[in-house]
Amino acid sequence: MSFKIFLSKFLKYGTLLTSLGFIITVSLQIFARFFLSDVPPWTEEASRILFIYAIAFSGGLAYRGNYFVFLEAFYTGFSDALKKRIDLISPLLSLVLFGFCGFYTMSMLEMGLNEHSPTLHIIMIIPFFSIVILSLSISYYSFLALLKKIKFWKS
Amino acid sequence: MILLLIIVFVVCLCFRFPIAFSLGLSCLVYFIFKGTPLVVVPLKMYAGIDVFVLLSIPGFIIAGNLMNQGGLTDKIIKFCNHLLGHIRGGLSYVNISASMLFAGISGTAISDTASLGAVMIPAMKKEGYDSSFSCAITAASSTVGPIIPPSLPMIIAATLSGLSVGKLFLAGAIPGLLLGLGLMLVAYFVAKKKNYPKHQKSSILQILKSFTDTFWALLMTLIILFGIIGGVFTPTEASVVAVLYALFIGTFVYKKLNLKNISIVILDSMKTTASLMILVGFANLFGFILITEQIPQRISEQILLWTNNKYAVLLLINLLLILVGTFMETIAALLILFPILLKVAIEVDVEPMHFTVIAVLNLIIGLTTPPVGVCLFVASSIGKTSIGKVSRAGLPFLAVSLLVLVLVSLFPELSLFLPNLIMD
Repeated sequence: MSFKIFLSKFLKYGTLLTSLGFIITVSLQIFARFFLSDVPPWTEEASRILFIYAIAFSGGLAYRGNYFVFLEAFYTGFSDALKKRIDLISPLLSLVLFGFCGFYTMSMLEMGLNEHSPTLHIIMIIPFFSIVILSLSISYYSFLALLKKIKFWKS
Repeated sequence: MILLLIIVFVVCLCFRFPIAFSLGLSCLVYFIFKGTPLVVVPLKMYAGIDVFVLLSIPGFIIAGNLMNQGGLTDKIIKFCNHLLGHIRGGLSYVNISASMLFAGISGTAISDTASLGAVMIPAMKKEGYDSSFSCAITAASSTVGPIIPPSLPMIIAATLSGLSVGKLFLAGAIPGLLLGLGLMLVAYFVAKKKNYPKHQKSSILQILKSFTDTFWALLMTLIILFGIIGGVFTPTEASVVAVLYALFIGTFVYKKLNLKNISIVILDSMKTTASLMILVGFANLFGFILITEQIPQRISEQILLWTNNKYAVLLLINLLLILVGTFMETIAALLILFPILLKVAIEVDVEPMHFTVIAVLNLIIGLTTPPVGVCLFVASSIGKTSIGKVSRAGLPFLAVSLLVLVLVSLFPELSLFLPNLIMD
């Protein structure tokens, strides 16, 4: 299995599992409210962490599937030559942005070493690591998009 | 330094860089030049999405898509057709009323245009309606969606302002109905003038039969709305209840859901959510810079120096928001401008809840404002009609939408009556 397929499956199943995870956790919160004497205090925090992970896993897939909105108004007025240049710049800028974001998340992880979440008492590296997944997956897909555009440019 | 932020942001936007990434990149450049430690970028982004009420967004999107997978669009259209199809130009009313009902399920204007347009535009063309009129009415009617609850822009506005989601949902109900009725009035005059066709009157039995098909979907909206308003659920819990309900109805009543298409729907909905949440995360970073640079205060002071007349300020804000809404997607525009303009509105004694409705209404009207309203483009591409023709046919609908906006701006009671009556 190539890395590309592995990553795609990893992100896909990660998204599905974490999404189901937050749906189940919130359902548990509702169930506890109506049928148990007390609502477990950790459900809100757990659902937030699972939600952020679901975003992290699906972010790369969203980038690959062109789910992000952009402004078409000016672009459509540009000449074909300029459009070609812009199409090359866009994945490059995404790579730069998420490359920086991923790199500086390492400092965030260091900060998370000494912090614990209030109700689950987990080390904060765990929730913060979601941003690493998000940054790396978008960086990887923007890199692939850049390679594709360069090939197109050369042809 | 703030000028650099704005310039990089605008250049990125013009270069068709995703709006979310344009926000992120402009902030990154700002921090590099300012010498701020760059760890603030992932930190603020994380903090922006680590908000419990935002969990309701994937919930509502998943529930809406699950219901749609069960053939909901066709069922709603069929029900509206039995109910209103016998009036001259009946499909126009079907289009608008289906949007009003569908609104409670999808929550966004562009998805309404795409989902309903794919069915309604070809159907209207087949019956002899002008293609441009069919596209224009589909685009115009889809703007009712984000106002009628449950509304995604209202959830975002609630996150930004700290207002109650339930109250904001209620605040949008009357303006949404007014907008829908206004559009129907325009459709009535156009249909009469152009002598558009009408269907045979349906029997009570046919209406009841189509109502029972749609009933389960409509019940979901009621569960969400009354669950939140009645204090039974938080918005996030209501969205998860909606997901469980949609799963149950789609699997056991409509019998259209299986493990495969459930996973496809969840995956697709989460990709949409991710694109929105990354936008929310970077907008939080952008907002952080604006606040540290005291931009909302400065803009507020400048406007108040010029005029402190409430209506003049509201007029200025309305013009700005419509202009921005024409170019930019609703939630992106809301995230960038709402916190700044809310501060200005509060300074001239505009009730925050009232202002939220005005802001959302403005931005969604922008979606159908020529020459670049996004819904116009979506509808014209479905109807394979030139954007110019669709824009011209849409002018009467735009006029009535603007009239509703003026009424909502001038009479706060239209927004505040229901939340004050039910939730205070």
